[in-house]
Amino acid sequence: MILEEFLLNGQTALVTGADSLSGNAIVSALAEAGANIIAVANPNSPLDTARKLVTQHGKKILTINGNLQDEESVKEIVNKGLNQFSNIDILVNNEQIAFSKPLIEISPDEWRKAIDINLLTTFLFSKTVGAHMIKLQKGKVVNIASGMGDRGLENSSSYSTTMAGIMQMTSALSVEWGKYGIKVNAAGPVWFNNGEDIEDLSDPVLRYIPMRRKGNWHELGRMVIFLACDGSHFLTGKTLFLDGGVLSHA
Amino acid sequence: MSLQDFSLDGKVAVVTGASRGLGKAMSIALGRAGADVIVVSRSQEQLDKVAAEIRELGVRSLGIAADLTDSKQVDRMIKQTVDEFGGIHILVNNAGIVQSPGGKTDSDGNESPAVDISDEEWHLGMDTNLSSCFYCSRAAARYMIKQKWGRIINITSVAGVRGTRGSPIYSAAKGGMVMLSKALAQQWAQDGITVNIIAPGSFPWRDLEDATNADFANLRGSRIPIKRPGDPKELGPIVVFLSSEASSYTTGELIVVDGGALEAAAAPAGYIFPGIHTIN
Repeated sequence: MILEEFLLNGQTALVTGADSLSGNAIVSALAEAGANIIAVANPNSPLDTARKLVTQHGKKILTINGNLQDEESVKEIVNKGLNQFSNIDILVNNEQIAFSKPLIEISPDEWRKAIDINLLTTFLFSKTVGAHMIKLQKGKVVNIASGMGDRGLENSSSYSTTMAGIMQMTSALSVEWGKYGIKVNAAGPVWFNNGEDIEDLSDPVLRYIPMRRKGNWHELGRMVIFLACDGSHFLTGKTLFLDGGVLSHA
Repeated sequence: MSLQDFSLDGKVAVVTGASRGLGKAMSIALGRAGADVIVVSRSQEQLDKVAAEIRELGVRSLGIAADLTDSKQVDRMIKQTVDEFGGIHILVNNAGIVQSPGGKTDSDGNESPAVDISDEEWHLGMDTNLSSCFYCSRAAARYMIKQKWGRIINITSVAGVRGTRGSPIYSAAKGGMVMLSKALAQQWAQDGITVNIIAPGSFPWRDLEDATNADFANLRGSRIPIKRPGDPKELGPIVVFLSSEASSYTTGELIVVDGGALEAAAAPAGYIFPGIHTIN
């Protein structure tokens, strides 16, 4: 038996970064749980895989490519979605970029790019879809953060900084939007496989993971279903990690 | 992935402190998700009623009365579960007490002033809230390690995460549960067992009717961003998720379920940050 709270039939989810491995896993999971999908990605980022995954589950998908860091463009994307599905019940902010570089070598343009893609995108979609959810007096926002928002890693200062920003935006918006019936949570993956079915047993990071395995993207998909579910709006403002025990290790 | 990963069909769950309140609500949620549920507390009479309610969901359920501060009774309870239901897959450690001065239970949560706490009060709180959690986890894990699959969910409290003025014993024991959980999560990470912690915020804990009481809701809700206390039913999805295959990469995690209360700065609603300047 499955709790009816986990079934998202009749709901619509807008997912940014739907072209990525995490995006594919998220749209597939949400569609399997019954949601129709608005799959959003940058210009020239193919959404064919997302389309295939969603239609396999018999759900409708609208794919939209556009500039995710421009307010007018984001409004246009959200309006297209609303024209097709009339409501957006779930927003998954999944668009993100990570690059590895010592801080003293990062140019201001590169730093701004990290801030823009990771934080401005999430801000713009939260603002635009949030305004719609406030009108509805309900909604669920799921931000994709990372364990790096909680810890530092060499040469990942821009990523850690922006992921901590996502976690804190999650917390702050839960306080600001709680009274509107909107819950805001985040999922934070740590050390995931570089493909759905690829497990690299020689990766030196494995011995740092208490479970001795990396995470699989479908595990993130299931976490997103849980965070998008109805019936537990009292859970809000939190980042739930998928870390194989890494973050609770001394 | 499969949505079936959220189902608890074929799983056996033990929930302690299950005769009422949050424990009862979580037991019913586990049953709704397909698990057979053993409900445990001190009162056989109340447990029998809860078990009957769970059986109406179409799953097996049994009430076992036990004093969980006695590890022999705990071992016996877990063994009876395995003997009668064929295994144990899920353990929800929810039993606990809040104390009033002198060690009486069921108070408003205010213990004796710290300087007046007797050794007996201290040990009663530690045994009931913390030792019971260890005894049950130890007994259940002996079976879970063999079957290479298990889910342990420890119910702590926001008092185990942040300081409270009136309840040092309860806070210490609940904080102890958090670290016990994280340590056990590490020790059993390669045995297919996850150990996670749920910290409920403001929920009615004396009886369920309080949830619909307007005075209670206004009083408790005023400091909560979602402007109301929690409904025990709202712990259903989280306890089922953490009990299922769907949460397979999450262990040692502390999840506070508080309507956003711990996210909010200590200030009245609408308060303007005193140092703030206009952006233009």
